Amino acid sequence: MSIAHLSLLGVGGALMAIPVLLHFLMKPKPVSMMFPAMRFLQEKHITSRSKMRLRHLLLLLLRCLLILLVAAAFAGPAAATEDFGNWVTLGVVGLVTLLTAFVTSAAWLSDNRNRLLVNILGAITLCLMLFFTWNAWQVFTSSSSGKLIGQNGMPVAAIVLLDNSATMGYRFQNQTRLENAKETASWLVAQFPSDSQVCVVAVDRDTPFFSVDTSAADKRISNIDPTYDAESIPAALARAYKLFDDVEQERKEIYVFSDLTTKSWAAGESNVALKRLAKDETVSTFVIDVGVEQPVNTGLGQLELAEAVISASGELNIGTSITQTGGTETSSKTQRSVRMRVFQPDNTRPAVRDGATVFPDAVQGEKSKIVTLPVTGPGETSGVAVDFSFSDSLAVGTWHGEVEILGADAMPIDNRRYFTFEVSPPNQTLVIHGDDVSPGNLISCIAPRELQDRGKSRFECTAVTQTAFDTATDLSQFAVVYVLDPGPAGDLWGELKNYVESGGRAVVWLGHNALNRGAPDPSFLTDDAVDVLCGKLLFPFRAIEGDVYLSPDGLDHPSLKTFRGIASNVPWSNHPVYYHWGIERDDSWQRFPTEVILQYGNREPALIERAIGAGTMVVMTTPISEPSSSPDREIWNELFLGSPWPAFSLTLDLSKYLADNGGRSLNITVGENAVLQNDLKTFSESYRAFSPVVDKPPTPLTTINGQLNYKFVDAPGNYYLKPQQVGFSDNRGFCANVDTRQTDLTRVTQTELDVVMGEGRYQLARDKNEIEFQQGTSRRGQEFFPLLMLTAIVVMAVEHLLSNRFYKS
Amino acid sequence: MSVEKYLKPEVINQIKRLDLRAQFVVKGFLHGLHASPFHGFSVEFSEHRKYSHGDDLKDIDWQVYAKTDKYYVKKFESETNITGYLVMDLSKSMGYTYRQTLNKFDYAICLAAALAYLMVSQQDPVGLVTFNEKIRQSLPPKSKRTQLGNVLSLLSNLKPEGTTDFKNSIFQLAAMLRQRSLVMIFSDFLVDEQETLDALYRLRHSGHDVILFHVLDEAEVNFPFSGMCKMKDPETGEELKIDADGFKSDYVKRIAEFRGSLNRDCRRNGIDYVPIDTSMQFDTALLEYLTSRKARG
Repeated sequence: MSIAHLSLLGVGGALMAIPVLLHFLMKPKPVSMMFPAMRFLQEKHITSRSKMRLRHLLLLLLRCLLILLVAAAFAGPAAATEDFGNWVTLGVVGLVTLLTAFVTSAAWLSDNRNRLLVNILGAITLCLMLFFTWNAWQVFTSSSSGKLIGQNGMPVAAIVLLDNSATMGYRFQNQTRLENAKETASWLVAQFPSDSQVCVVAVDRDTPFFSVDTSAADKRISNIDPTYDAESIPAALARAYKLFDDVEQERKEIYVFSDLTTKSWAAGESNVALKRLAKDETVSTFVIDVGVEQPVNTGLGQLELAEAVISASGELNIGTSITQTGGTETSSKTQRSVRMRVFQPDNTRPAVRDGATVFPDAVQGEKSKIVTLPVTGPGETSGVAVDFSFSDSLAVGTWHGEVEILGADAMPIDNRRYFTFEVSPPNQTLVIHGDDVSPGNLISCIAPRELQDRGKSRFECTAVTQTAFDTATDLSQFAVVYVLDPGPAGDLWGELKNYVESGGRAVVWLGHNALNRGAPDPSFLTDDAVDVLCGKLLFPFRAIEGDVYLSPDGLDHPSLKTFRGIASNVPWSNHPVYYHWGIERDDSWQRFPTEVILQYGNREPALIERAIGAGTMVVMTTPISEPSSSPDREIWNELFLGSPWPAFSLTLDLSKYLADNGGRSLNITVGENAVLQNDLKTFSESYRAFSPVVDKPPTPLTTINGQLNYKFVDAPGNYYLKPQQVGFSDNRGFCANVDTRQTDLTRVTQTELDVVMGEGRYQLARDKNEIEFQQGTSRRGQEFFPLLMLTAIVVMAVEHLLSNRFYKS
Repeated sequence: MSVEKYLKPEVINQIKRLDLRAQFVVKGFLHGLHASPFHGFSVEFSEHRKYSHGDDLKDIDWQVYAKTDKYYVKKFESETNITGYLVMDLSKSMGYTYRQTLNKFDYAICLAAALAYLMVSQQDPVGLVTFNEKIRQSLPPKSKRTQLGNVLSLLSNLKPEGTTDFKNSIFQLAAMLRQRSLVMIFSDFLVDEQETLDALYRLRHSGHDVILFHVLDEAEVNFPFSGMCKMKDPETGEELKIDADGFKSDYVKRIAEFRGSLNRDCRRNGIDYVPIDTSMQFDTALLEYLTSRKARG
């Protein structure tokens, strides 16, 4: 139970004393007169005096009650819950009914019965009784626990949640949605009564807190900028809602300003706090839709770089797509120009001048290209792949570029995507193969002769037999070490383990050479071998019927990226595996992070990745070198027979994945940590990181554990790392793009909104007027003002009737 | 108040064609039980009736007996002189009126004057007795014309005062009356009902014809008051603070009961009861009563 104006109730109580004082102090002076027939008056005097006192008392009570009711009505009493309010209503209606019934009975029993009056009073009493019965029925059958009600003048504990995700940058009527939301939120905060507690929170994962006052809250609103790594509104709401646990105000309100896009309202995993909020009927929730019902936008999809590291004369292949949202079929079938350009590495830039960062200029000529793409229609996506071929060799180093839709539209954030690639010399790789094993398949995959001849090969292979391999060779000079079907190995596993631990990448294809009388050779069962081979070798699985072949469960791993769009069309079954080694998931799986990348149809692991130290170890349990030229043994698989493109792609992508270990961090999504491998032999130890936000000062970065770790990727663009160590001049860098899901303008449906907020648990508004209306609806709820005023009117009528009756002139 | 005020010419015109007769004489109320005190005076034959035991033998019509061989007695309609007494309540309560021109006493005087005129004009002697705690003044009955002036002169000089002791006064009156008379009592009877009845029974027991003129003020009948009133009894000085609105219905009901009860008891004992309030035109009220009395016959 709450009272908005307690002082009014006090004033009412004081005013109630007036009729009492009037009753006792201002009694009317009786008119003195002679009257001979006193005998008859005296006979009736005792009973009449009691009756008169009763009447006076009744009138006094009614008058006091009238004043009290009016004062109470203006004091704005409200119950905490609807249930309680219903009970109070029932009680008051019952009281009024009793009062009316009493008056009706008195009128009925009166000697001077006025039939019309009795009939009217009887009808009113009957109506009140029916209303009381209906009310009682409602109270007893209602399952609702009641919703919060309040009063406009009461302090409020409010959470103002602003959706500042990327789509809020959509411009409509010369105002972004975020600007619109901020303006409305500022207005809203200014409406809150003094002593209100206001928490302004955005979907940028900041810790929610109550501002010291409403002006601080307003300042917080004005400081909210767009975020491109937004959490979902339900998640932000759940965090903020916990603030209500410690507030004193009875009135709690949540205002969510959002454009109601699907990505913002993804329900996500079950959230206990949100479920609690959905059931907490003491909180009034308002969702203010600042979005546009039918947005029209053209956006670029995610950039797909075939390789983030290319050779000096290599080709850069970039794939992207254009998506049209909204608009009419006719208007959308237009051509849009897309410009792709790269920026020349410039060791003097970026630099801070006059407080702003100056970035390198774009390269003109062949490094800038404009292509025209058709936009197919609303909701459809037209893909495009653009290749950059550079006639002259590119300088070794880090290159940045961008792809941009020319021309403006309502939401510019998805009109531009960024990319970063590195130009490096060909990766040196070492291929150690069994004496009877040919490395031909591998070499033709990763370093085909024709590419090598043109200088475009990413890899340069050095092949040695296992026997010829000198264990004293410095493996660290190789980007990747391949071991093909090794035989009894001796110190090879120890060497390999040391190499990987120090950051190297190695791949082992197991084959028949590991066999020793039908079992693994003991040299494959040493501790180092078990660590390097991702487990203990069991025995070769035999499937000569040809019904076992590679059967990937998922295609998330980068080495499987080629198959992602064509998963069902990959002819794995054309390439049966007859033999493969079984690997025991021993305790080494606990000691090292180990993951099965690919498996066979019999659920046994085919390709296993293990992180050892700073490096990566990959083991394939069937060889790449089949078929063997030796007719004396059975063939282990047909991966490279027929049309071997699946095995070819797998091997190449695996090699690129391992070789591009650093390059994987060059193109990230906003919000991710940028982690760059930083070999101090090649690169500076410390850098200054320049954000694409021009007025953001550069951040110093230092190499830790061979890595540069930049945690402040909060805006899309190219990030430049400028070396600070003397003797190093080449910039490094990376780029960050907004996740395409963050720019999806698809609107959430009412049903989806209900799932998150709870059906009927929120009020939807679009502008200030609707907010005020919804506030009024929610806040006033079952205030007792109308009820008390109605009761006061009834009491006044009864008082009038009685006083007229008692004091007939 | 002048004598002329009590007996205006128009009132006289209204009542002069009427007469006032003692009922028991006319109807032979005590016929067969007691001898008529007015025997042989202004006797006029009326009709025959069968002889009954106790009748005077000299009244037997022997001629009828000779013709019919049955005893018939001659019945006479006697016109006789009756002695009337105007008995006026002189208590202070009779001097009350709330909003009428005449208070109860004046109203009663008007009634008494008219009746006195009527009796004097019939050659009947009329006397006057006033009382409050006891009998205060009395004027012996006379049938002279001057008697009317004497009666009115006495009444006009009286002022209601004192309390009422109706029973004692009436008992005193009954002791004073030597012969059966027509006793016309003018009072508000705001005394104990039982005492009133006892006194009236006493008069009736003495063989007097009694007419009660129950004169109340209009306010005493209708109780037109409202709001808080402090009522004071003019006789006893008692005060009572009342809510007039709350009392009205009960009072009116009670006063009606009082008058009804008095009416019933009087009728039961052969007493004429004439309830009057001062809002009524007294001549009209009187005319109505006399007409009805004549009709009863």
